[in-house]
Amino acid sequence: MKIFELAKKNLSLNKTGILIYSGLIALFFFWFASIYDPELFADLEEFYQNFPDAIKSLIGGSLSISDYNSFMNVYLFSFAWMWMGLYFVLKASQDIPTEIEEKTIEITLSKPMKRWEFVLGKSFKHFLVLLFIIGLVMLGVYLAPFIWPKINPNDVNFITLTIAFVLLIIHLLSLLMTGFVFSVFFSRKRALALSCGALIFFYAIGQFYGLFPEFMQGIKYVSMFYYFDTYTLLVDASLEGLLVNLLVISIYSFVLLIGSILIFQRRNIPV
Amino acid sequence: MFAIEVKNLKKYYSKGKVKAVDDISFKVPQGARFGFLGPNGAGKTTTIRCIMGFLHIYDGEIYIQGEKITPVYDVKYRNNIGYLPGELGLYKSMNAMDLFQHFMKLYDMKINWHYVKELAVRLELNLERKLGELSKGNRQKVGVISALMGKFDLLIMDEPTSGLDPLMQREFYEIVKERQEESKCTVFLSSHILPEVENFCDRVAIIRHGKIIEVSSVQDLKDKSLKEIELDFTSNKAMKKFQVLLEKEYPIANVKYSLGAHLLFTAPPKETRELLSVISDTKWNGEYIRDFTIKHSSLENIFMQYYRGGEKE
Repeated sequence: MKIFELAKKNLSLNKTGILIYSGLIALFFFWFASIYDPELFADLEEFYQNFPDAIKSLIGGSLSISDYNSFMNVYLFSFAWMWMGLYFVLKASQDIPTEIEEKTIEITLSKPMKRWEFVLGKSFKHFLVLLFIIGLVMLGVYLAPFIWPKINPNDVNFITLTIAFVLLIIHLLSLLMTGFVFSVFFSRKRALALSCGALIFFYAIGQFYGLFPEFMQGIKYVSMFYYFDTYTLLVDASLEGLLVNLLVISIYSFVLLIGSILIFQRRNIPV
Repeated sequence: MFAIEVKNLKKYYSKGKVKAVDDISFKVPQGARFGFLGPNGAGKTTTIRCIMGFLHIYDGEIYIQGEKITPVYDVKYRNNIGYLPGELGLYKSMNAMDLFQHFMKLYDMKINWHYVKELAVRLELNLERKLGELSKGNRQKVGVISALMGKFDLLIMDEPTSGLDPLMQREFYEIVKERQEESKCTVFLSSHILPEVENFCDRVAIIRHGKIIEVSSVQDLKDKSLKEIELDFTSNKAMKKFQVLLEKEYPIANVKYSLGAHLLFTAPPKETRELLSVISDTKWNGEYIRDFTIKHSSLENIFMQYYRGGEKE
């Protein structure tokens, strides 16, 4: 119960920022969907296919944007780390250090609350914010085909789109937990620098491992970006590898959560 | 059973190079008003933070209400503790009422708004203003109320009157005194304002460089501390004669001031009795002494004696 109380109170403290950000990002995607034009993007896709292989490899070897799901795959899901991942990393990495630096943690932890409850309450708050933001983004993306005239709702595969959003939630949770794990033992500045560094590192190896020498390519398995495969889902409309991807990213987040609890239990809370 | 019992508590930093608290032991009886004294960096706050579970202890044992606790991991004991930290941080966008409600949910207690509002009136605090808009003193009042609002058996307060004006400091001690007399709770506080501690506390512990150098009742401390003796002789010659005797027979006495026929010196309680009979029974330059006064040292003076190297063995 204390976990929920802490999450609730933390949500109410940040509600204005959350509402502004989620409203803006949902409106952005709703508006962004309006630029989708099947004919125009089919031509564009053909144009991309004529790119040299070296350039194409930078964008995953092929680019498909001729239907609504493929379009969303490129512009929403592939860049989700930038649209939303950075926001969550920033928020998660600053949370506990801010409480420590502003000394609010002392008056909270002096209550009969276990440290793991504190950590769970904090991470639960971030998870709720994540669900809320993705919920609003989904609303914008799902409404667009019914509002914008150039998109035919009958051509949209809402099932794979929904599954892709589930994968996105789990993926963003893993980014969030990467920021969070740094927040339990570093100061604000260090936690931010390290979590942004980790984000870029994982993104680079998850996306561009193909450019590395062959013997190094196995490094891709340590990146959560490698398991965030929405291409197969949204372009190929296939569920192949989905369960493994979901499982690996979920375990990654779970391990980071347990790690955060254990580290936070062992640390001193400074004055 | 003691409200707090600390046994051989050690808190070291930098792999033992910095000894913030070094093997301290003390007991706080149930229902006591216990003052924890020491200058900045002596280890007061570290001790309190070890008790509250913010810091892992290096070694030692802590008992709260007779039960041994592992501070970072046990939390049940905090159900009965009202705590006011030395450096109070509050959520700026909340108001005091929201904050109190939130805390009571963490305690799993129902809030007594009548009592909270009564405290707010006495401390002249507006509960509806955002905490970020409050002055340091008013924020401190919020902390004070949050430490007092539940039915706690033990109040732990680190520099509770910091930032409060003299009127509010007095009101604070009045409130805590009333509360303590009514509920027989134990009050453990650290403070730099020694006259307040002297008036409020019945027992004190003095800590220096991470070590406890005295634990005693305030009265015992006063009784065994140096007495200040002020003498008025009939002439300067009489005063000089006494001073010669004092320096020769009682080298432990320490003359602080002499002018004309007036002399002020300190002496240990044991010597004081003997000295008094010598002073009053003897004629000094042919005449008895005109007047004398004996003062107990104030807690402040006692504290200074300890800190100026007059550490009692």
